[in-house]
Amino acid sequence: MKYSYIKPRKKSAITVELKFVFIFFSVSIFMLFSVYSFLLFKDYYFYKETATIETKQKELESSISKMKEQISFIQKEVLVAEDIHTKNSVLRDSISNLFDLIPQRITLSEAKLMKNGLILYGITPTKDVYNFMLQAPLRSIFTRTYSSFYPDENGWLRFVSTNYVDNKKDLFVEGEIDED
Amino acid sequence: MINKIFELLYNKVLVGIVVGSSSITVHIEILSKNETQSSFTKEFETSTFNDEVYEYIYSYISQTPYYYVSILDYHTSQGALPTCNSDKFPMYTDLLSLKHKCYKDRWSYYTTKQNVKDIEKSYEKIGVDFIFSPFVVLSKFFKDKLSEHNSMFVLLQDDFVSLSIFSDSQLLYALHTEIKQSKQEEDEALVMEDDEDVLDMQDDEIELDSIDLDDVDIDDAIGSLDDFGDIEDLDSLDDIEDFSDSKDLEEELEDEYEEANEDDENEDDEKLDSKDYDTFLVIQNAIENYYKDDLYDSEFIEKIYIADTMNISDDLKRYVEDELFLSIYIRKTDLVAEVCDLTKMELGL
Repeated sequence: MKYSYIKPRKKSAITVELKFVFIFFSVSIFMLFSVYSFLLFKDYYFYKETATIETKQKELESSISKMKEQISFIQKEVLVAEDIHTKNSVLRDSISNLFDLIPQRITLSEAKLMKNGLILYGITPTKDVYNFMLQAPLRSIFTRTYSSFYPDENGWLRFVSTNYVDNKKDLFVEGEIDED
Repeated sequence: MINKIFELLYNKVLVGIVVGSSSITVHIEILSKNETQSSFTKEFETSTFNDEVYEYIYSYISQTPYYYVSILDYHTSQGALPTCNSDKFPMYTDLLSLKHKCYKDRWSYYTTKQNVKDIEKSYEKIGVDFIFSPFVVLSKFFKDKLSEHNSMFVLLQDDFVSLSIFSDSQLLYALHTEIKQSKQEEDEALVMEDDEDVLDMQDDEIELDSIDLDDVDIDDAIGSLDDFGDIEDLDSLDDIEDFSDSKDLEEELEDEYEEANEDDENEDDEKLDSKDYDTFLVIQNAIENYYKDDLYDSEFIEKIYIADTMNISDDLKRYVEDELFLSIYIRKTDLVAEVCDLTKMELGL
């Protein structure tokens, strides 16, 4: 029970001066911790960014090496393509030349272009037509030429002309040309 | 939370102040962990809160922020009422300017708002935390006797009397008053002043009659000696015996009191100090008022319990017992320490 007419004043060990000191120190400590935590955050952020950049750098380096490999592969492909193109051009010219060699009276049924030779299958009315009109130019091109004949049902002759070049010219494309 | 920790670290200082008309009594109690470590009491011969009192109190309260200053209300415009019902207050006194508190829902005590303001203003240098009514002190001091049937409880201070009548813990009547100089004392004071005047006049006469021996002519002097021819007559005066039995002033006062008492109280041959007599008058008047006033449910008082703070004489006890036919029980009390005890109760220590 309260007997007094008045209530006691609030007691506090913290005086106004002490309050100011506490506030001052609190603000100072708060600012110090704020700066410290800001620096910590910045440091962490910097390390994180550095790590990201390093990872990116590694990724870029690996992609650069891959790209270099691709470039070298493409360069090789270009070389191969150029080579193929050249060879194809040569082959086209050769085939064109070959067809130019075939006279009107002889019909080719098959032609095999080999690396160092040419095998021709066809029909000729006579041996002489073949010998004069086809074998002669073939002999001028190839070093060795072999011909064999066998008769067809209609009285014509089927022939197989095998021709080789001994000068080891690279002809790695092998194909078959069918001619009606 | 922080305050609780600080409270444990610091000592508590309780300051109890009891103000009299000519003195201020200060009681200091230093508490450590709610246990009284030391206590000091000092009385100052001043009625106002001066620098001496302030410095004494400040020397203790400056040691800790946890100090509590309690003061016993010393104004005469205070009292207690036999009810807690504020609707009934106007029967006894004007409620508007009063500050009142209820005691255990049985009775209430009051003082004026101006009194509280006065105390707070007078002691603003140290501040006041608690203002107690003397009736609360009285109730606390005689709490084991309050339940008795029809008893009067009196708190006697040097200059104030707080008296209350309780029956079965219910207040019936209360009065707080200042012990004023009785008319007799005032008369005696006047007599004293008259005596002093006479003495002063005699001194003056002596001075006037003093003679410079250089200026005295022998013949004139011898002639003038004839004027002392009546000296022998003085020996014949009967009154001279009265002077030989000269009494000091105190004895005279006592004699006159005796005479007064003899006149007023049917030739009571007991000697009674003037203050005791005034105290007796206050008690007597209070009882008369209690019996006569229709406001109070008056019943016959059987006992008087006196809380004595000033070492009253046995004469007063005997006198009151003889005159009022009541049993008197006197209990010595250190009033200012009681105020500090109340402070502890308030603080829950």
